[in-house]
Amino acid sequence: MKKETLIAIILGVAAGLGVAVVMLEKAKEHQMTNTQAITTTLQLTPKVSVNNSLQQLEISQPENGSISSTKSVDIKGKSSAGALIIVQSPIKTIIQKVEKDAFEIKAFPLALGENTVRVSVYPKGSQTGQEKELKVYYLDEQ
Amino acid sequence: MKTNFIAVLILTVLLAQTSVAVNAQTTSPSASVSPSKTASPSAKPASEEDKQIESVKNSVANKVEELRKKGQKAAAGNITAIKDNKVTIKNSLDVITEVKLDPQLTKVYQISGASKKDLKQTDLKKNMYIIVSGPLLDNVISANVVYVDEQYFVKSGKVVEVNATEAFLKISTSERDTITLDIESRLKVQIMDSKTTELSTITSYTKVKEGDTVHFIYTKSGDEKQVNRYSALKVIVIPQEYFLQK
Repeated sequence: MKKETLIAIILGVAAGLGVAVVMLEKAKEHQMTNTQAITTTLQLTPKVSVNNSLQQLEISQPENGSISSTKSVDIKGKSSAGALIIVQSPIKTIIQKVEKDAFEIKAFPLALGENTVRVSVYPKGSQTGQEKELKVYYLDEQ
Repeated sequence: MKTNFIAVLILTVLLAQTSVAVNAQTTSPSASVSPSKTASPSAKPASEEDKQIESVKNSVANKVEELRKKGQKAAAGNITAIKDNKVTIKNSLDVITEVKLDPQLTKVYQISGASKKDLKQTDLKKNMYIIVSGPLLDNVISANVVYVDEQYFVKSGKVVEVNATEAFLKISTSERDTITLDIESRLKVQIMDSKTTELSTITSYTKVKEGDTVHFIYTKSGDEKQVNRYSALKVIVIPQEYFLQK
């Protein structure tokens, strides 16, 4: 084979390879620009509405650690309407329903010395209650 | 002490003002003046002044009493230390309180039901549960009175085991403890009616079921053979059927 023919073949193959590489790169680039991220408006986590309307147990009277000069004390507070309220001490237990959102237990008797009074409230349909413990002292000599 | 001093000072100032007004009273007219009566405008009848003084005294006395009661503090706990006239007590929440006894003024009693029995300060011993009351000064209660009593525990929880043969209930409390309650034969267990919420006494344990809510009371005798096992003083059962109602 002539020297010129050989050179022509080599150059031709090289040119062909070069064109092929360029075309491949272009094709890749074109493919990338045409790719779009798919987004959806679908919510994976459903919205959960929380009912915060349940009144927390609050006791306005008597104050924890208070001293009473009388043999009884009025217990007042707030809780959710229709709840079952149980007020228990070593000498007395009272069970009643909460009217509206407030409760009042009049003249709850006190023993001489320390009275541990537990106020438990169970909202309607729930066995999980809220509780508060009060210490009320009836001391007839100051 | 301080409040008493302030009250006495206020009373003295008020009474002094009243006496100054009496000294400033104009003299009654002499016989040479015309017989028509001319009463001095600043003079008041004696009875009205007495009423005012009485009213002021009562107001001050009430205020003093109010301030005295406000300054009173009560605390309870087991005696952990006694030294000279100072007693240290610790309650179930591990709160420590220092108490000072006055040999002449502090009275000590033992509570027995609705009555109390006189005790001496020397009768106070370690581990006794006492209730003290008095003014709080520099984080120390100067006790006017000390009562020796039992400590009562009022709790609630869910029944996890009913053993009618050995007469005990195992309860998981709202404080996340597990307590075993021994039910003595003479103890009347009460159960709440699911519909009327009225309480009735039950004679056997067949009505008490695992999962029922229970409210109970016990004391610690100090002779308990097992940890968290106590003899019940009162038990009230709230059946789980109540909570299933709509």
